[in-house]
Amino acid sequence: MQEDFHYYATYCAAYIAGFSHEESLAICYSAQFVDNCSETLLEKIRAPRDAATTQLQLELMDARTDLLARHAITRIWSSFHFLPRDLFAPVKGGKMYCSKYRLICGPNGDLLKETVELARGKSLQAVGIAMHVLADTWAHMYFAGTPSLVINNIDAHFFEMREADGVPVRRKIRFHRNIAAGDDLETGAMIGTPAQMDENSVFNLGHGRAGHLPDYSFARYVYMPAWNGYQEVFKDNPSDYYHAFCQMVYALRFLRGELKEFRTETYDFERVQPYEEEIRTILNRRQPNACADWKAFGEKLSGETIGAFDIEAYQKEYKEAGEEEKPRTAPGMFFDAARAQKSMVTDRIFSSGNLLAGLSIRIGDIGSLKDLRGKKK
Amino acid sequence: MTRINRIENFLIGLLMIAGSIALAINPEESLPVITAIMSVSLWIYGIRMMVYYLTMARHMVGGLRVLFRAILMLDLGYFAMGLTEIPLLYVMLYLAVMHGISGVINMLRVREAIRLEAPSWRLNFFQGAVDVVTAALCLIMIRSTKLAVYIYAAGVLYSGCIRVIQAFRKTTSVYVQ
Repeated sequence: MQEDFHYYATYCAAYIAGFSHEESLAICYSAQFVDNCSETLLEKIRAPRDAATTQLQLELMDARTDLLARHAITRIWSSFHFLPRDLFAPVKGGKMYCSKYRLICGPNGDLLKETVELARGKSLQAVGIAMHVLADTWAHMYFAGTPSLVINNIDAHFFEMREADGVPVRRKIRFHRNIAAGDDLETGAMIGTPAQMDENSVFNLGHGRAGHLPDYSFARYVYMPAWNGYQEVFKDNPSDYYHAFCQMVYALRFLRGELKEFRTETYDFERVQPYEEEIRTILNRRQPNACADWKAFGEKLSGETIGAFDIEAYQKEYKEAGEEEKPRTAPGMFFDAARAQKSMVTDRIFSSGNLLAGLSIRIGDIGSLKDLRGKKK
Repeated sequence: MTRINRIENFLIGLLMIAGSIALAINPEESLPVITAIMSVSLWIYGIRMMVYYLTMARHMVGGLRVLFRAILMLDLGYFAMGLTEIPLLYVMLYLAVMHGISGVINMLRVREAIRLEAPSWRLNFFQGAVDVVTAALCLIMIRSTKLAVYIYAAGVLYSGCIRVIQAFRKTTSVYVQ
């Protein structure tokens, strides 16, 4: 998903869920900031680097491909952009294959419930992070947040479902490498990450091989994922994005304290119903970026102006704050929430017997690292 | 190109340059060494591919291609191992044909690069063409084994230099996040 959904649509969902204009802005800023908080940015503002929620292209190109570097990549991408649906999914194969298969992202998993519950009672920044993760479980479904050819590869069998004279037709998607040409929505020529036969190449991370199609709300497509035993899958983004929106409203009501429990497979269709037609129109409009539409909808909802996302907005505040004040600034609360989310997901992956995100030790269980050293003796 | 790719290209390039110089200075002794290195490399690559197929790629759509590649590499490695004890002429024949095939593959990849609108197709085409011409000249001059060896050494030297240059070239890479 892109800025249109993570920033403007999240604002709309927060406002519909009952948050004020200012609170909704803080939530959507944080939701979008997940796509910007890289190690490079953290280094620039002298913040803890382990709070990174994304990796820039150049960081990935320069990343080592050894085991520890792959753990770091998996921790970031599985925790924030490709939340695994089922860490115990039944599948045939060796341990390594099963581990990769179980990191496939999807909505309504146990980890999503834990993600939303983790943000309850925390800062608005934590709420924003949870909304980013929730929304991406719908857009990035069927891809894993770890480098893997056997999971994330796609082949030439890739078609967009369109309508011609009211009849659904398949139109072949052709992936190219011409950055200057970009995506041509009319001819179906889309930019995509090149094929790499190396299982652990960063080019095989996430949905890069399928280009930006998972990020376009209007796209409906059929393809054959590498992991699905030659079975096609149909991805209906307009429907998935609508579900994501209604689930966000439901989750945000829970996070406001309006609901006692957060359940998966539950959507607040009722509260979104008055706006359904307008939302579906935005989702179905064939455009690479729906920021303007969502912004107009959000401003109509609240009657307030929604400023553009500004990556620099809170950096000065953080840099100038004293060591004790830093955790109370907006970025400080974002970093705390990001670390909590990353720790939780890494721990669940490790506890399931899957070592792809590295090792995890629950400090709470052992008291402190000093105690752990004592226990080892 | 990632940093690891660059280091890999640089080291392979250096090895090729060293090999070509050794070939030109002492073909009798260096040819068997080169075929042995080639054979071992093919074996290692083939075994790695086979293990990858058995543990992971057999579950993947299109995974059989990995198996075929593994079998081909193991077969070529086995064949190359048998070349260490036969006359120089036949070794040269094998090396020239292999060089030619790699050139043809490079040129075939140009078709794919053009289809994908990748900007690197000119360099690939030129490199492939030089490899094919080197192999053709070797085969034409095969009766004069010494001359064929020099031509082959020049071809390997050229490929090695290109590898080293590529390691330092600025490249754009398409990466979708």
